[in-house]
Amino acid sequence: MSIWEAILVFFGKFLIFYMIGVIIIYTLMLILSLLKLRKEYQLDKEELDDDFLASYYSKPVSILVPAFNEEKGVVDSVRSLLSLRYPQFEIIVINDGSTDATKDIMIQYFAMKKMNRVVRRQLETEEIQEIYQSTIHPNLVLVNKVNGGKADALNAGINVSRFPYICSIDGDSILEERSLLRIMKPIVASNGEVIAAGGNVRIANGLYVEHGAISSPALPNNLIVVMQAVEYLRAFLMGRIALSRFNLVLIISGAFSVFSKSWVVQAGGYDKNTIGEDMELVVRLHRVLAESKEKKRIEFVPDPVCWTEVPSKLSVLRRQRRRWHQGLTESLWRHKRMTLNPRYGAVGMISMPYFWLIEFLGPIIEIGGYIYLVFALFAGDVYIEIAILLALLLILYGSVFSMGSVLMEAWSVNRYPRIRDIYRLLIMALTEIFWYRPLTLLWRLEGLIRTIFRRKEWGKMERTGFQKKEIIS
Amino acid sequence: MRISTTVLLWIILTLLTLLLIFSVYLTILRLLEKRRLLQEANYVQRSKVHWMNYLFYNQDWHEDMVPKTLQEKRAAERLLVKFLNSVYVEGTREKIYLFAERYMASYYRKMLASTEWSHRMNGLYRVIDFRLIELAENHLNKWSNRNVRNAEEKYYLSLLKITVGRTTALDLVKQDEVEFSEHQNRALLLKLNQKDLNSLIDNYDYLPHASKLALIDVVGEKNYIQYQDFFVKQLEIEERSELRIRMLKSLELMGFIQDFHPFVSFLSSPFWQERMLASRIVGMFPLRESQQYLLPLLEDQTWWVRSTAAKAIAKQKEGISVLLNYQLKTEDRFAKEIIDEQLLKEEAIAL
Repeated sequence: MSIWEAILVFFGKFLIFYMIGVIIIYTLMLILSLLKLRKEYQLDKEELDDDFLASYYSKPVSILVPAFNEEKGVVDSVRSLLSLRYPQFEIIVINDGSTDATKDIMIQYFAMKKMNRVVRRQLETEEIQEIYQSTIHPNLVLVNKVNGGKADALNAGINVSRFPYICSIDGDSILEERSLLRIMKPIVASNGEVIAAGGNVRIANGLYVEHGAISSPALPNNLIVVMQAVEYLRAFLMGRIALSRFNLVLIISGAFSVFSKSWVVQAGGYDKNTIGEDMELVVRLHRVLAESKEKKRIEFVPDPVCWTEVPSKLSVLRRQRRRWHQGLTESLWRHKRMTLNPRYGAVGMISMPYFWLIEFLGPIIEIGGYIYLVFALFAGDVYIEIAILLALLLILYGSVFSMGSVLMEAWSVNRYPRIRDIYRLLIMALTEIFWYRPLTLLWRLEGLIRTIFRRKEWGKMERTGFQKKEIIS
Repeated sequence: MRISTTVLLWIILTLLTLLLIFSVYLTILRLLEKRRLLQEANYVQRSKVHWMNYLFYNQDWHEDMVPKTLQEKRAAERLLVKFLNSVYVEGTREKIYLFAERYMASYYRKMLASTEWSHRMNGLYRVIDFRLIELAENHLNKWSNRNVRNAEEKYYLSLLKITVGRTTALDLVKQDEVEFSEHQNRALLLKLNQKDLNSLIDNYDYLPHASKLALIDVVGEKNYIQYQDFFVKQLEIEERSELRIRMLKSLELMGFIQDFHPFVSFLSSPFWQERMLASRIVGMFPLRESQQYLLPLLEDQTWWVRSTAAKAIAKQKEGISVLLNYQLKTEDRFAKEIIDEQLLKEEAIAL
C-alpha cells in the first residue's frame, strides 16, 4: 500500500467515525428535545403566565436595543416592545453613532426630549452624547453615543439601565406580547438559580407587521431565507433545548436574551474586542460561575419568540456566517483552558469539547469529506453506487433532523400553520446538502482562516424593514 | 475501505420511513388543527348571543350553548375562562361553575386521568378555575398515595386541596416540609384573607425562610400598613440581613411611617442595601429632622447610598440649597460629585 493509499484509508475511516459520532450526538439531542417538547405539548401556558404575574413585579427588566443604521426597522421593533405584557420594564434604545436617520426617526416618532440623566459607569464605553426620554412613553429612553460597536452599545445600555435584569434585543427584531414573560419565567421560578435565559429566534423576512406585531406568519419566497428558516429551527429547537437541559448552553442569541445585570457586570460586560459578543459573554459567565463555585444556570427557553430579519442575499449571508465562525473560534481559543478542565464542570468537560469538535472543526472535516468523496471516486476507491448511497444517507439524515425540528415547532410555538409551508421546509431540507451546506461550510472555513490571520470586520445587515400593507407570499 | 451496500440501504430505508412518518403526521396535525379552528369558530358564532343572555340577562341556557364535540368543548372552555377572568357581574361566576359542572365535567375527568402530564395540568387548572369539587375530590383520592415529582404539579395539587377544603393556604405556607418556590409562596399568600394573614404574622417565628420572604414582600406590595409596627419590632431582633433588607423595602413601599428613629441605626449598617433603604425611609421626613442623618450619607462609600441620600434631600423644599451648602463645606470628592449629579437631574426635571 502506497503512502497516498494509506492516507486515503486513514482519512476515510476517520470520516466515517466522525460522521457516526456526529449523527449519534445529534440523534440524542433530537430525542431529548422531542421528549421535552412532547411533555409540554398542548399545555396551557397562558394559565401559568397569569398565575405568576404578580411575582414578576419583583423582577423588573431593562430592555436594551442597540441600533446602528436601523432606520427601517427600529420603530416597529420599539412598538412591539411597548406592547409587551410585563409588569415593569424600561426600553433603552442605544443609537451607536448611526449615519442614517435612526436617531431623528426615534425622536420624532416617540416625541422624545433631551434629558440630563447621570450615568453610572459600571462598564467602560465610548462617550454618551445625549440621552432622550419619550414624552408619550416615559419608560422609553434613547441613548445617543459615539460609535463603538454592538458590544459597546450594550455596555452603554447597561450603564444607563435602572433594573436588575437586562434583556438584549436586536434593533430590527419584533417580540410577541408574552415573550418577555415567558423568557423571564425560569428566572422567576428558580429563586435566582437561573441567571440568564435565551429565547427562540424566528425569521421575519417578508412578514406583515402592524402596530409592532407580526400577523399571519408564513414562509417567504426567497430560497436563501427558507433555508435559514430550516437551519434556525434545527439550531434552536434541537441543539439548544438539549444542551440547556444539562446547563451546557454556550450560545444564547444576542437577538433575544435576558441576563442578571449584576452577573454581567461581574463578568466584565460585553467584550468589545470580539466579534461574537453574545457567545463570549455566556462563556465568560460560565467561567465566572465556576471560578466562584456558584451553582447557577443559563437556560434556553423554546416558547418565547423573537422575530428577526435574516440575510436574503448570499453576499450578506456569507459575511454573517464568516463573522459567526470567527466569533466562535475567538471565544473557544480565548477560553481554551476551560476545555477538558474538571474545574469548569460539565461546561469544561462536555460543552467545550463539543463546540471544538463539532462546531469548530465541523467545516474543515466536512469539506474534507466532500473532497475525499470526489477524490476517491476518481481514484477508484469508492464504487459509484456506494458513493450515491452515502450521499443519500447524508441528505436523509439531515432532512430527518430538519423535519424533527419542524415537528417540534408544531408542538411548541406552532407558528407555521400552512401545510404547504411544511412541505417547502422538507423540500429545502432535502436540497440543503447540494448547495447551502457546502456554501456555509466554505464561509465558516473562511471565517476560521480570517481568525488565524487576525482579520476583523463588523458585519452590517442590509435591512429591508417589515411589510406594512400586505403579506408577501 | 468497503461499506456494505445492504447496511446502507437499510439505513436509508429507515430514514425515508422516518421522513414519511414525520411528514404524514405533520400534515394530519395541520388538517386536524384547521378543522378544530373551524369548529371552534362555528361554536362561538352559534352560541355567543345565548351566552350573553345566560350570563347577563338571567335567561336559561340554550341548547346551542351545550358543547357536543371535543372541539366545541375546547371553544366553550376558552369562552368560560375569558368570562371568568374579565367579567365581575354578581352571580356570573356561579353560573359559569354550574355550566362547567353540568357539561364540561366529563371532559376534565378524561384530562385528569390522562397519562400525559400537560393534559393533567390543563385539567388541574380548569378544575380549580371552575371549582369542580367532585372531580377534585376524586382526583385527590386517586393521587393520595402517588409520589408526585414535578414541582408544578405538586403545587397545583395543593391548590386543589385548598379548593376542596382539605387544607388552607395558611397551612401550606406554614409547613416546613412543603418546598414551594418563592413565587409559588407569593401566589399562595395572595390568596389569603386578612384573618389568615394575621395568623401568619402571629406565627412568623415558626415560618420557613421562603415563606417569611414571601410574606414580607406581599405585605409591602399590598400596602398592609397594619403590620408596620410588627416589622419595625422584628427589624430590631432579626439576625438575617436578607430578611432585614426585605422588611426595610416593604416598609418603604408602604410609606406612612410615623417615626424614623427606629431606622437610624440602619444608616450605619455594614450592608449598603440596609443603609440605602433606611436613607429612603428617613428621607420621607422633613429636612429639619432628617438632614443631620442624611448629609453624612453623601460621603458613603457606595454610590447607591450616596445617590439615594442626595435624591431624598433634593426632593424636599430647600433641599437644593442644603445640597449646595454641603458641597461648599465638604472636602469629600464623592459627596461633591454626587451632589453635582443630583443637581443635573433636578435641572433636567425642571426642563
